Amino acid sequence: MSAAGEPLHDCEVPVCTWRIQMTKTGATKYMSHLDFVRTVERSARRAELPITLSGGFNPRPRISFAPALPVGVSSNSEFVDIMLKESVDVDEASRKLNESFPDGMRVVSSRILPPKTPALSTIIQAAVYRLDLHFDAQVGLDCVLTAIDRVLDRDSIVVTHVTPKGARRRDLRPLIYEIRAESRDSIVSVYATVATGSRGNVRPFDLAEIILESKGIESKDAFVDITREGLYAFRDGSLCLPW
Amino acid sequence: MEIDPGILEKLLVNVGKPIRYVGGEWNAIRKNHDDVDVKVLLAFPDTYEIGMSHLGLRILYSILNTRDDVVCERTFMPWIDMYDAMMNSGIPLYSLESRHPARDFDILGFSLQYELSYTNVLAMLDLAGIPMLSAKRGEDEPLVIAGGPCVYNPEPIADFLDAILIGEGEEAIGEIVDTQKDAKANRLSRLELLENLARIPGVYVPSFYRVSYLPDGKIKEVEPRNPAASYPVKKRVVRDLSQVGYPENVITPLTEIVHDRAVLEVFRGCTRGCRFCQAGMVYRPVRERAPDEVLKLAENILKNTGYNEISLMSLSSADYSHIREVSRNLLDERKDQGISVSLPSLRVDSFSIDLAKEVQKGRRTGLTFAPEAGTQRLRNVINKGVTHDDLIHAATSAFSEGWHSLKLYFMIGLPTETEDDLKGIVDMAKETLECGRRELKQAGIRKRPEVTVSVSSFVPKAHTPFQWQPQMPREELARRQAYLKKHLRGKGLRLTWHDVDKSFLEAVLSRGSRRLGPVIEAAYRRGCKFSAWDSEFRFDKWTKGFQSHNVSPEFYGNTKWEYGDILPWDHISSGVSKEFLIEEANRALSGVFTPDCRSGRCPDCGVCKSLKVSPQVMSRVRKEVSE
Repeated sequence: MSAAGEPLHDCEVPVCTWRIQMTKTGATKYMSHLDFVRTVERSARRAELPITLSGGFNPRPRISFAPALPVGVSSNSEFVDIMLKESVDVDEASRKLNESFPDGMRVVSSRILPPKTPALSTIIQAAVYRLDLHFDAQVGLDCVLTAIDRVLDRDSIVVTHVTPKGARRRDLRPLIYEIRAESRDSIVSVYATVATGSRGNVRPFDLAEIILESKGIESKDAFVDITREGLYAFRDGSLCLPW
Repeated sequence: MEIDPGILEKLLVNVGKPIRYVGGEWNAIRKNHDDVDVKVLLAFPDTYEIGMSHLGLRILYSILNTRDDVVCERTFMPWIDMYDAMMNSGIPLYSLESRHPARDFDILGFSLQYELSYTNVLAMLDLAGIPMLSAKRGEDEPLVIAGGPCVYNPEPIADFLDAILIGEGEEAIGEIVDTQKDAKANRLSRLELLENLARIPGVYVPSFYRVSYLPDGKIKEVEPRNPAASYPVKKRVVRDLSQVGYPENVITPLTEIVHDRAVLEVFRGCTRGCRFCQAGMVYRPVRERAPDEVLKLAENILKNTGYNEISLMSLSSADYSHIREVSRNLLDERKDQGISVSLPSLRVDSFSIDLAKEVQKGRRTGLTFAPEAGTQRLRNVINKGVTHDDLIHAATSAFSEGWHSLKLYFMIGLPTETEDDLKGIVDMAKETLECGRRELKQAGIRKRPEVTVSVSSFVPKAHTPFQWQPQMPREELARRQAYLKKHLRGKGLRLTWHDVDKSFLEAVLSRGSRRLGPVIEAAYRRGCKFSAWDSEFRFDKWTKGFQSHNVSPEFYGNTKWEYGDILPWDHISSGVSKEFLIEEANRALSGVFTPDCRSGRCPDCGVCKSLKVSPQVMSRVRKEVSE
């Protein structure tokens, strides 16, 4: 239809995928996933990286992301794929991107992968969350460990999520792989390995509530600071970083 | 002392969009408060997303932070959930950059963009723990100042402000800061500081004027009572925009804001002279930026922000002498970067359509035209130089170029409006739709045309030729809306309108005197916040505020005032003379057109003489040089 005009761009062909592992901490943990996407795009543009643009009237940089992080959860291990139209020196590109990131976002590690590498959204299947529990009252490591045992002993953990389409009931138990805890100072840190992405999702806030409730602790009495410590793919039955 | 991060974190997990309350944006500036002499907090009395979209805030932020002896930070009105949470846990209003309480700053500067944000100003002062009334503030309390278009009638909010800057802030803000710095160094009293501020051209210190009233409520006299107070207070104006700097390291928010793109002001002022338009009167004269300056700024701003869209902003961007050259250049230079250009406020003509076609390329996002009134007679009254043929030509070319959805902007309740004018709106909308059917069919586009009619209600504004005019009674406005609702029906037609109570309150606050101060305070105490938001507007609470202070809102909103009356804002001068406004008011009633001074014909509005400035139109400058 000629009246609608000619597209500005054909879709550009990437020569490689630059996969970066990065942090999202500090103020940036309050960004929604869409905010995060926009901010990575703008940072990449400020860094003047040779990003491939999509086609169409409104060309977008071709950047793709791992499963979304909930608002308010920090991450020490987010993964982002940036499709590049020319190869870059990884150290130099990381330096430029770090200089263009707002505080709290930083490249930890990165690799150049072939252009047709499977997308993060399909390979990422597990996440490790660290739940730092700050209690008003005296609740120690032992208490939390008992709580974790009770959770792991259950056959099913059915939660109800209210979505715009109505209430949805799901069993989280099969999606919880491992939970352990340690204490440092007055904080108890719970490390939970759970499903994320295509195999299903455990929301870390739900998990914190389930653990606290199993010992009868009201979630409003504790402040939970959550950090995603890792995102993993399954390879040969074990977890590995998506390199 | 900074706000306790632990307590704040606990609040943030339980409120909507916490990203609005944490700062940390790209290009936000952090300075050590111990290293500076003056600490300024810019306060916007609406949400982060709205305040961050405002250019004035960005300009002042950049100018102030360029100085080594000043730190300038930002704060916004927290949304109701956060506001209540802060009140309940004793967290005062704080700055986004350093999270210092607002109270710790030397100057708290409010931006007053619309009257319905006034209760938010009070809410923010209250949350900051600063007395709302200027008279109650102690020696060590921050200086509370304001600026923005609302201050052309500052009287309703005057009791709450220590000083008000009338007009453009780029130069005056530095003088205000210097005066504050000097007062601090020499340990001057608050009164001495206010006197020194009042000596700065453009600064109005309300407490230095006494207002007396006639028995009927009109103003008897506004009398300066301090030798430092000038009468009238003339607005500040920047002679040459290129001399005052423009923010190039613009803050790039971490979340989506209302105008989420780079913004470049291509010119300031508009001299088309629409008689209802306050911006068109008070931002005179027209001052354009040179095209090479625009391009250089655009390059730097895009580079520094990472935005991929830039808006060439002004009150009427198609009027910019070099608009085509500049927008073409921007698009061509950055073809491989996916940069787009947006042009707000286009005119109703085919030049504008051609422009829109060029910048929107294949993306037909929608077009808005503002004929403002339904008949030629009424358009002559308001000096809107748009004809029926202009609209039809513009619509024809828009539809044939592939747009299928047009928005037409009208105002109802304009002075002299009759049913014929309402019928005119209906006819224009239907004719535009018909034109769409024809053109789309001819172009072979299988889409249904859509015409959205958006009607607002006329609000008389200070310093316009219609400042003496009443707003129509609410019942009458509602009747006229009902007429349009009844007649603008059918496939492809849509109508949107404004709440009449809100428009009424806007008129009351626009034409109000200092007697409205206690009403605003009462409304705030009854819980009115975010009154500009439909979801939060509580007219009943405002009504009770008027009743409890025995103030008739109809007196301010619905009364015709005489040319001889002293108006509440007569001691404020925009540079446009009262004689010109009266002449324009009379020409309106006889339907006589007054041309734009860009044409070279000076209608003698008085601004150039009064403020010793002149219009800067680039095409003309160039011609003069070549001659």
